[in-house]
Amino acid sequence: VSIGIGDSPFKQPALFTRRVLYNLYPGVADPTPWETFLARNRTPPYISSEPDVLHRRLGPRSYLVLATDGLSELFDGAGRADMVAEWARCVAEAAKDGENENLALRLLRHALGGEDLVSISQMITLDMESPWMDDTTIIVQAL
Amino acid sequence: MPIIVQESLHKVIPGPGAPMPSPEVVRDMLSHGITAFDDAIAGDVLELFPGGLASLPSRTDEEIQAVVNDFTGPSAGANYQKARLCLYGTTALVALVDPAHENLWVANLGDCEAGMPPISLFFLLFFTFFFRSCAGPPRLTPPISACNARRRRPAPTSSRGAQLIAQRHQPRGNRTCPARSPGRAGKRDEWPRARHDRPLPMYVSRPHPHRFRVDFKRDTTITGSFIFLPFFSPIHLGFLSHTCQ
Repeated sequence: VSIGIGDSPFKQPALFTRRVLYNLYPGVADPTPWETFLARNRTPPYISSEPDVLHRRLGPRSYLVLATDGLSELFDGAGRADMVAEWARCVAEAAKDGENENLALRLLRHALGGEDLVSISQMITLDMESPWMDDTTIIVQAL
Repeated sequence: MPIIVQESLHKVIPGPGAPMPSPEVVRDMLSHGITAFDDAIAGDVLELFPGGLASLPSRTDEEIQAVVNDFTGPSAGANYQKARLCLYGTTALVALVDPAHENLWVANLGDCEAGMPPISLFFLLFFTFFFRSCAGPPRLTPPISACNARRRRPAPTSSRGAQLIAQRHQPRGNRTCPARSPGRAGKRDEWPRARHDRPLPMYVSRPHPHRFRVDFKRDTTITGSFIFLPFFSPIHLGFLSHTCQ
């Protein structure tokens, strides 16, 4: 089951979308894509908003990295443990450079190619008709 | 702290002298708080129509439009913003630490991840902060840093150009709430605007309106910097990093 906040057409009966959202400015010029789904919207919700909540006992001081899947997709091919270890190495190196260092930005830069200007240029200036990189938000929190 | 978490916490910890609830209670509180927040998105819209969902079949399109497209009415677009929220979806990732720094809860809703690497990988950091804490008074607010990069779709007339927005900021208050990147909300979300030829997108993430005002100014700045350095994205990235120090 997919989970997320919002996306009410997938959580409310089809009546809600057809009567309220169809009437929302600027309106729906072609409802065909919507109706393809709404015709099958019999027993909503199809997206859950119940989060997966984990509890952990904290040890000595550490860092917590919070990121959207845009970051993990940049480590495509790496195992999850290897990916987190890579995050740790990058954040640890960045933290050594000073208190005012933006650890999250350093991690983003590292994921895009780090000091390899060719790699990072390929990610940033890639010329494609469709998006090639997901939205990426990173927060690094000292605990 | 996100308001939804704060309000839920007040229910299980009414005052400073209240005992610390068990981890299971806090876990359920986080889960309930996020679920209630999501329920309110469509609920706020249905409340605009007395009788709720059951009343919709008996209402005319004109009547519904007058309620949700309230650009010029006394509500000044408040209903419109509520209804627009229903169209889009996002993820949420909330971390909560108790004052004693003994417990961590992470609520994960979808396309996001939280990682707390093994402490052995952080031994250098540990010593850094150990000596720092010995050198001066402990900091009340742990250091936090954040950034985001927003997916950009090339403009039809542009064959090349900077496709990435990377930005640095020091979040405060609700701005620490993890959410999808705000993007260029200032320009894109202006209304009313010309009628689209295409149908509304079915599954596009947009920023939460609570972040709208905060992010508008910052994104304007970022967009402006792109005007001056449109062709050297790596330099631009470094430029942002430098100027935001």
